[in-house]
Amino acid sequence: VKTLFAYPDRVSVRPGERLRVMVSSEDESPFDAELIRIRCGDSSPGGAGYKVETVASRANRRYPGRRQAIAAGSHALVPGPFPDLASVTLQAFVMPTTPAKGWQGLLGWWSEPTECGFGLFIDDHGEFLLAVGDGKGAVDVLRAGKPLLARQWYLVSGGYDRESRALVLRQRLLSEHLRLDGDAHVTATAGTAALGRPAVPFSMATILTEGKDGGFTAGAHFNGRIEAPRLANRTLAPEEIEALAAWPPPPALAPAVVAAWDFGIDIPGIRVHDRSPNGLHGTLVNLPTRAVTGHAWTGEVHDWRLAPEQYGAIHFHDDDLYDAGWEASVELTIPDGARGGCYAVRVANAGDESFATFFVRPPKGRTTAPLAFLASTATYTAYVDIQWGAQNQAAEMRMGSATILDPDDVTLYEHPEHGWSAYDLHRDGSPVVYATRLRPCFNWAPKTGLWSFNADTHVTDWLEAKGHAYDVVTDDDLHAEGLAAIAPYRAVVTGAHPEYWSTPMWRAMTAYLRRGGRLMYLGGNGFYWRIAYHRELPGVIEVRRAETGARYWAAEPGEYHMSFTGELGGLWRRVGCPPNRLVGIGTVVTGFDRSSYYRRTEASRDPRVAFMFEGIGAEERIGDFGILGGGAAGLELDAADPALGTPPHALVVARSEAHSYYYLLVPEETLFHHPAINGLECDAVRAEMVFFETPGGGAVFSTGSIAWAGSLAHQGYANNVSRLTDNVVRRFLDPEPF
Amino acid sequence: VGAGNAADPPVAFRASLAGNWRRGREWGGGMYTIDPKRTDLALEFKRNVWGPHSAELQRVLNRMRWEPLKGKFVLVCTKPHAEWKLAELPGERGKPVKVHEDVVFTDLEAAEWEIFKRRWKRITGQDLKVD
Repeated sequence: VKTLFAYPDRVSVRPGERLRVMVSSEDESPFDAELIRIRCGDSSPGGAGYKVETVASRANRRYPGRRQAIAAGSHALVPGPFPDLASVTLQAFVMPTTPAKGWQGLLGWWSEPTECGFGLFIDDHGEFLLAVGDGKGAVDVLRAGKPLLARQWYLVSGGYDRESRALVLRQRLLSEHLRLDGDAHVTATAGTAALGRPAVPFSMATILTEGKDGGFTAGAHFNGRIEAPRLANRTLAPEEIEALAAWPPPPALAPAVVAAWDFGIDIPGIRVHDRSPNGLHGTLVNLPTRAVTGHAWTGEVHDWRLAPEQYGAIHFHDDDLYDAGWEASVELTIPDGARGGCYAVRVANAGDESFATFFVRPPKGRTTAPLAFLASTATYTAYVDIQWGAQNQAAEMRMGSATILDPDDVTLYEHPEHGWSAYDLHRDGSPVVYATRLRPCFNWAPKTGLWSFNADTHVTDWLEAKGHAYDVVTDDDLHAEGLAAIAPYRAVVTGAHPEYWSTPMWRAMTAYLRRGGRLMYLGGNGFYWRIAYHRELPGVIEVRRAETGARYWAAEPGEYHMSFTGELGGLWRRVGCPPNRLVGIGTVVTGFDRSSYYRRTEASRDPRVAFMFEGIGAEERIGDFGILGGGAAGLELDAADPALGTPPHALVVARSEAHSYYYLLVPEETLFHHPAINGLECDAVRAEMVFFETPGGGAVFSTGSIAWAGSLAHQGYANNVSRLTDNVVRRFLDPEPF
Repeated sequence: VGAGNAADPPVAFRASLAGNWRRGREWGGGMYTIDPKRTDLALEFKRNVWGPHSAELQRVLNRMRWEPLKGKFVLVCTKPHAEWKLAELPGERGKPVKVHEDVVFTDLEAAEWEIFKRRWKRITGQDLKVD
């Protein structure tokens, strides 16, 4: 049973900088913390071995334990100040996705448990409901009487008139083709003599409960989309409601408007903007999905930047999470002289341990080695707390073996408040487009499965075994600093799976190669998805799985452009920048049962790559061993393709073969599926190892397989995968131009 | 199918569809059915859990592995790299994973075989009896 959870506030720090670690001790027991440097996190039998060292720090001591909770669920809060309202109308376009899940807040100035104020809700009958209360015991509710349909747009409004005590609730189903009676118009006379003024903010997509200390908690989160919410200071006639749904309203209606929120304004941001003169702006909590189509999306425009008025909706989820927001339990300064590398603060009690993993770079303006290891922090972020194995019916079919859940997986499964990864679907079936690391990152840690971060420690382990000094640069650094982050290094080596790349990262790497930099891409499925970082919020990335690619979900039509930047999301290949242009190869295959090996090609005898094959026989199988599936060619494979931009002078020096039934071509390589796309029956199922020279005397070496690094440590690093990689590293660090 | 409408497809297309339909009937109307008499396939799996497998056994495995998430057999690791227990997914996150505390494995081949036998029973309705 997991009792300890931890995460750091930063992923990239330098000596002398501060790091905060958030810890929750579920049973409130004390825990010990220690700073460790990680050479290798592979604790599997027959693997490279778990190799960490404790780093002296004043933070290494016992701490009192405290339970810290996670409050998932996105919503909007508008602090006000709101004017005194005798009468009101609330209205919005609403598309519920789980109308039957129970109580959900839509919009209103309402607080529990005092039942004070006014609000529109979805009730436990799956219907719209209007509630008004004076906060002193008088409460009136009015239910629409028509159960809502999931994924249909409605225009809903609720009004209260103090003079007549009239309550009115209207809903109109916007669908033109459904032969359904989805409209409702109900009225009642209220007992409530006056609207209360709650001590909480106006809220959307949640119901707020007042705390004892003036605070509040958010619950009963709404799943679905809200667009164009309005607040008026009197009851409105049906034609006025329709008129107010647009903006600006007719002049006669303007005096009635208290607030008119337009979610089409500043879609990359986390504010909700009020178009009325009252300026009742609000803030979004837990990153609901923006840049989603609204009720009036025509299908003509797919880029929200060109028609923000068609993207005036926000999709809220009761399981959205951006930042667990825990208080720091451990604070430390990275020691001066700390060697660069992968680090963690390990926290442990009698029965459990957790890791807050991060990376240490050299002091600013300095390097300690000519080689940089590029830690794929964007990819680690995308995979944080992935639930795919237990959430996707196809998981076992892809693995070719029963799904294994470790205690972390079970904990995550049973505790949805930890949120999702960018591989998962929200509870309402919509895709998780934002991935955050500001929460316990179960699988961004040593001793976990050999994927993502932990598999990349095979590279750092091998570099240290072979005595190749290296500095660490993270994706986050490359994104923020561009070329400057890697320019000082003669060569850059990636991990096993540098899958997610932002545009600034891509540009930085392109510029690096253009000026003579050398890149060793020791992996597969790299440079695959285009992502965006947020302009204000740290620790979160966005991915839209558009049109094609090996996908776990598909973005909705019209929602291929990222909200953070407006850029077209999806595969870099579909953006017009196939990875083949950058590293000579691109993804062709995925498979997860057993790995295979490479054979040298005729081109490997070319004198240009003689350095690479020193000590390796012409007929040797390369990598018919390894901890990842038993071979160096496995999991996800890349191959050359001149049509996609593999440089004409690139040499395919080795090619894998003999892949299994579970190795399948990716969708973008098959187009019209047929049964023979597997390793037993299709010769396109292979990895290709590529080398080519770049302008300025640099070069690129790409292995094209995620499993490659899992073979490096075999037989005490004395093997042909290690030898070949070492040959490349030595030559790539040699200043002699290619 | 660009020419004509669906109600009146070209003759050649109609003929090819008919061919597919015939074949579908031969297969028992679509979804592959596990023949409980084919215990030879079960033995093949028991002897070679990780494959590669014969085409017929692969069909059996595909049918078994495409098990719905509600009630799907999985393994829960109880000692890292050393011990696993049979479990069933509830099909909805937030609900407890049902762990069969008394069905414990110390090697994954035995676990795969146990799941195979249980799915055989689920799908064919018959106990799998092989040596």
